[in-house]
Amino acid sequence: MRDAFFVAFSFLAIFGGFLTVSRRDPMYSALSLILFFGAISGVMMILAAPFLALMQLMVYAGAILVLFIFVIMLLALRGEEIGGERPWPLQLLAGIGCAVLFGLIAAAMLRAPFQALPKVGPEFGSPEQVGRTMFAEFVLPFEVVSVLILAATMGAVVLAKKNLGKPEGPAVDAPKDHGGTH
Amino acid sequence: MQIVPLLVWAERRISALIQDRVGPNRVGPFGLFQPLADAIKLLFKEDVIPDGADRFLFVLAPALAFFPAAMTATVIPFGAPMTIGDYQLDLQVCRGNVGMLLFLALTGLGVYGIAFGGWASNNKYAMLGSMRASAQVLSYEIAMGIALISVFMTSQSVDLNVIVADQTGTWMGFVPKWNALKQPVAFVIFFIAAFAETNRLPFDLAECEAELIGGYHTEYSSMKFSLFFLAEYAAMFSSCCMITTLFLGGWSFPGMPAGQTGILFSLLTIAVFFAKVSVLLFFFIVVRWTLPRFRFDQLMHLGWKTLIPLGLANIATTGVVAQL
Repeated sequence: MRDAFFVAFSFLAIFGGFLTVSRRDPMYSALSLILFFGAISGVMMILAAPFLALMQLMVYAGAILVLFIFVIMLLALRGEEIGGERPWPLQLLAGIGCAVLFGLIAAAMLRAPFQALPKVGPEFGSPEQVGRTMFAEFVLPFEVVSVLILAATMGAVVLAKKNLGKPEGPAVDAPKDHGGTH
Repeated sequence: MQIVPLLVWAERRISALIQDRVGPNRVGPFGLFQPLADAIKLLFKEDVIPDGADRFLFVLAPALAFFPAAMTATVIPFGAPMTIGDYQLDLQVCRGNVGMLLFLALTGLGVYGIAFGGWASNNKYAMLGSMRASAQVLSYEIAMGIALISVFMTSQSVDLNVIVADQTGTWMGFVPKWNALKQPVAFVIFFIAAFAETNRLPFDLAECEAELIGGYHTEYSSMKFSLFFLAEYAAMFSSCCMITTLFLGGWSFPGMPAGQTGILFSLLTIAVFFAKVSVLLFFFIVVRWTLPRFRFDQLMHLGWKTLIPLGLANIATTGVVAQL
């Protein structure tokens, strides 16, 4: 039963991933990506990682993809703006590149020794377990990562606000009161 | 789900009361069957798909809107476990300690229906509504999550059953140990965020009839429109259930005897739970007919510059108090 679900979710994920890259319309790509995230989340759920699975749904499907869709709507990418198909040599090249990459990964994975992992308890992967591991055993790496993310956030703010530090020019003229009641 | 028609009826009756009208009172006692009549009417209406619309997304969107809204109710413990013979019946569909996270994930997913609906309609008003909805849900979800963290800190668990158990008992004999009193700031933040997440007034900028005609569902008709409509009310109901569970003691009540498992006791806790939820729903409806709508920039300011810093400060305070 579990295996059947695992296979079903895996195929759904591959299907979603394929649709994501093959659709021309960015909105359909985004929709396929939601399918992909949902399927991956299902796979994680079966692999006894419910916390990870729901975080995946919450952060990627719930937040990041909403931003994607927001941007697609903001740019109003539809109709002619999407552009036509790419010429066939390019398509062929991309196909070969993907096949080579897949082959390399598959070869590396097949050469790695498969060994059974130690059995885990029923509580494994629960929020509590993840929290304990993250904040007790790996607290230093966690804090280092948080500093890294803070730095990245600040970098993003600086890039977005090019004129940071300079005095702000008169961007908008104050609306003058023409007419009105005298 | 079955509660929705009742809710629509309540909404119309209460709004009529506020506006000094009578409201629907012809069909059935007190007009109670009016929603049923409306539903039949909606089913038989012509289903229009606009010419320029993206047909696939246009059909998919209402389903996408309804599915998460209907699913969130699964994680809520409605009452004390019921023992029938040897069998113990938990009054919660989806048990486990990730229920709360599932609720957050699903509320986040609810916006896709609105987003795709507006996009597929190929109508500028609908699209503006969708864009507003996506930005709004994204902003208020963060505030909601932050308010939740301080509740988890007080209850020391993310399991909803533990959170309810933590709120049983009283101070000085009559003041219930509800999280609303332990964490008043988190309660207010969560409450406001719940209004925003369910697209209710004063945060219903996505449908804003004054400037956007009807927002994301301008082009929708018949049963597809009803699905959006159902989704909104179902989301409102599950939000109220969640507020009750997290902040108002869930199915527990002051002076509750411990260790009871009888069927009658269980039914009593269900009644208590729904009484609390009804009060919240009444409040939701009254607020809708009382407050004017925010402007979009005001909404964003409130979310990012008020609620989120306030929530973070609340987490810090909770941490300090817990250590004392």
